[in-house]
Amino acid sequence: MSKPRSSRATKAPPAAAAPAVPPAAPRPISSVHSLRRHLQGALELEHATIPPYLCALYSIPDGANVTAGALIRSVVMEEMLHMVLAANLLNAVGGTPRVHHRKFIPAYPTYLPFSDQSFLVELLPFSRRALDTFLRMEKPAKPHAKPEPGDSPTIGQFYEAILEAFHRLEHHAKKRGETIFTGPRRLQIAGDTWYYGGGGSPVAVTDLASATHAIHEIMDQGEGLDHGIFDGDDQFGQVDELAHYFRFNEIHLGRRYQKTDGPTRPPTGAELPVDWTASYPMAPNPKAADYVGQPAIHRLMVDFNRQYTALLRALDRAFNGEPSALGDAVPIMYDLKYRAQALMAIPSGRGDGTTVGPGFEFAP
Amino acid sequence: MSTPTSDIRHFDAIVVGGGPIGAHVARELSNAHKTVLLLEAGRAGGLTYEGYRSYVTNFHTQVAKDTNSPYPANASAPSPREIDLTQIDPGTPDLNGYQVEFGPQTFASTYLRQLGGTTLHWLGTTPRFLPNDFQLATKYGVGMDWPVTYDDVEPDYCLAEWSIGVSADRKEQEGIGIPFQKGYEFPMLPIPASYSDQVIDKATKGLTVALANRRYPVTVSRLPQARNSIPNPRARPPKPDGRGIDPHGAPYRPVGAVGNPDVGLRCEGNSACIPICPVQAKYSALKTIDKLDRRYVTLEAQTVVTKLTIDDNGRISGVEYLSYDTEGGATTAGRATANIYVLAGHAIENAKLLLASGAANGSDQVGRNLMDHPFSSSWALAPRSMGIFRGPLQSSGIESLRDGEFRREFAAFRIDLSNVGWDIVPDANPPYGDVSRALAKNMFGPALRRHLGDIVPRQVRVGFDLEQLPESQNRVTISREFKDAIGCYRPVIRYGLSDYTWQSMVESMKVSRAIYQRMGIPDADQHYVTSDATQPDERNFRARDGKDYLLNFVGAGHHMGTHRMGLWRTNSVVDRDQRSWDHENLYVVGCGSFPTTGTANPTLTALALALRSTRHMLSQLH
Repeated sequence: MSKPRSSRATKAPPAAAAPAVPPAAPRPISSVHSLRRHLQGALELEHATIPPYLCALYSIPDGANVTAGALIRSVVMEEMLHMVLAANLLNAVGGTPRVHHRKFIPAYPTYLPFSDQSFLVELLPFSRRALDTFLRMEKPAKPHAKPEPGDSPTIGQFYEAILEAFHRLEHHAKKRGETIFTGPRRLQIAGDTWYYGGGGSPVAVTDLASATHAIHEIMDQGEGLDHGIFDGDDQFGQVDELAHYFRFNEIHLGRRYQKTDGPTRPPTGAELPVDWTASYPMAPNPKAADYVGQPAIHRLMVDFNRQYTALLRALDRAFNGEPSALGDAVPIMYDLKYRAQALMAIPSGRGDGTTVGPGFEFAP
Repeated sequence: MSTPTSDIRHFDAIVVGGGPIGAHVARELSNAHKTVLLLEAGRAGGLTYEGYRSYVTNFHTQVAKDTNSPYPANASAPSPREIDLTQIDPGTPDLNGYQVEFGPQTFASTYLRQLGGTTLHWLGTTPRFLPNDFQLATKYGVGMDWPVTYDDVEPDYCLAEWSIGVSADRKEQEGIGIPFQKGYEFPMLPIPASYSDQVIDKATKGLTVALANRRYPVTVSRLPQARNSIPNPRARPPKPDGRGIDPHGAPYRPVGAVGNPDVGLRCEGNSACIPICPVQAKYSALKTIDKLDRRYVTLEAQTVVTKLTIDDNGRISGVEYLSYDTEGGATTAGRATANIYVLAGHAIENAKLLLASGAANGSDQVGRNLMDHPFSSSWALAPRSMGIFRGPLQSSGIESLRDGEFRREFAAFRIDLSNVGWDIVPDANPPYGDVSRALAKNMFGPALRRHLGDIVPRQVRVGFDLEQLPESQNRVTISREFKDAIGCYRPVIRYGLSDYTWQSMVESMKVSRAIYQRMGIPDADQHYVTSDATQPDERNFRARDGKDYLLNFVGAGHHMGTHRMGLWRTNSVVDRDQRSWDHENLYVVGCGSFPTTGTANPTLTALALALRSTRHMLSQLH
């Protein structure tokens, strides 16, 4: 049984200006137990990207930055798919996904779990600063970079390590006439009634081939397929979608990629108009505690946090044998959007022109 | 494949009209590797995600939120609008807007000339016709039989429902008399019933009403709707010809917004289905057009077809068109030819084009038999909250009065239950109207809030889609006097209702009264009609009971009958394959082909007929 981890993901981060802690030596994934810990970490990692993306997305007023908003939205939906895939991987090897507990949510600003702590992730409105962080979060590994089970410079290297461990551990288990895929099949969330159209279709993980497929799905959407710019998905019979990094780079540079573009050069397609001033000026990293002195605002912030926690509770049920709970999660997500946008319209009272925003804090 | 013979472009098929019907015809032909020129009079703005969002922004900024308000006005391809309608003075044509109306009643329905057609603003309600709707003359001695039966069309209903994505429950539909082939399931689970639907359902349990001396049950059921809900995991797609289910096929996958496929995968209850679904969870023809195989389909928008030319052998020899860059600006004339021609430009526009071309009118039926589902409402104030203003505009209806022996005497009806209270009640304009009326009474602060919280959620409205019989004097014509900015004919309309429909309106009041009584609503809180200039169609009617009733109605936007199909060339424009009796290479498709109206919203049936016709078209092209 995996214990909720990771002290690194949730410990109070140093101030933004402080130098990064030197990376610890890589610890190989040497057992199924360790693999489960890493997969729970993968869940935390995937989740940790979602509140920052949602803050940027919800800060865009209706009718503004339509294309940029659509790109961010498509990325965040794929991160949600990745959470489901990580839960499937963890369930497949007999683990227990835990997403409804205090330590699951990082306190922003934060380092990404399992990262080399070279940059902090913050809750920011749509802005150049937010986009810079997104680009760092989704930065592709250099070709042939080695897998990094511990503090990985990129998310891709972290998953490479997990992929390598799956193959090695299953290989060893097979030799003993065993398998690491001991989890019950009924816990797998497949693409059907309860999960559909959310950035792709989940893969039920039951063996090495499906595990490999699931991990590739995560890596390809995030970083690109074989170090190209496209993600290899052809789900809807549409042209390939760009991997996350390149979608963000389109917004960053204000230009679309076209088919003939490669990963090492800037995009050469159509112009993508971006209005950097069209977003709610949300003060960074909102916390309910910051507004104790303003009870009306404080109440709205706590209400948001309670709803967010209810979402995690629904996901926890879904990942642990009750997939219909995903149906309950859908209206909660809409509700969160409305609440977040309402908060972003309220002046923070700091006198600097900023507004309030959603905190994404645990509030059971 | 076609070979160009000169500088005039030649195709296997030319399809006129980029709405749902034209899009499906273009898809079926191009999937069979036939070259298609798809011509659209309006703009193609909705084909990009940004373009569609600009419609939504436009909708937000409009004062009058009528059906075409989100879509930019276009002088080169005008569309009718509700705000142009007025009550008609006898003998004086109403020249407001695009349609020229001679009455006696105003034809108060609109459509949209824009890529995607009227599916941009439709509600997306997609019931099938009942088997008896195809045989009105045989069964009840009124109207006219269709040249096809329900069983002929059933496989294509299945294909159409899977093509546009219909959310419904088979068992529930069987309960109202609709048969299905073995093993068929709707692609998506039904959109849930709203709270107010459930209140009315509970109140009317076991209720029956007498119509022409027989009793009929009043049963609430969820509406089939072309809006995304949850895919049905047990459903498997129909086989390509619609006959039988493909057991190895994959369950349905909801189709999201054009250009942003992750958006719109579920109905979000935005309650703006008409005039625009902001997230494209509702089907529009843009979704079909977006996926057309462009190796075979040439799409040209801003191209208004003005004339079909006819050769000495009576075959259509080409289309002439005007294309434009700016609305109301200069036009360029052009011409193109094809082996077959398909008019899919809407019941009114198809008739206009045929009349302007002197085509297909050997029966003198082109433009005649214009029909709609005249829509009358009643409204009431419930004693308790109905939870109004939650969910899509409609989620349930009463479908149990769509058929019966009474159709010998008066029209059948489908009943819509509104989730948006007194939305179309004259002058009600909820909830803003409630606010201003309360303010006028000097109400403010907590008292105002309490009042609104009390009054608005109790608003009930029940709407009746009434059947209308084909009558030759109800017609679309053209006249040299009435042309639009680029010199094309405006539709000239003569329209009225017969007693068959007026009497039904009186009967519908009885049904409303029975429902309201079951809900415990006192007589004083029930409303049936108001005399008001905003309701253009009203009349005093002496009913069969000898009493006089003031009646009024609005259009349902269900234009039918202007190029009806039939068994004989003497009394119909097209045959059972929707092919012109007079021109063997011309098809005229869409709701205009309907011989009678039934009570079901017509688009799904028009799609099924169109899919059926494409097989005949392909047999000609082979």
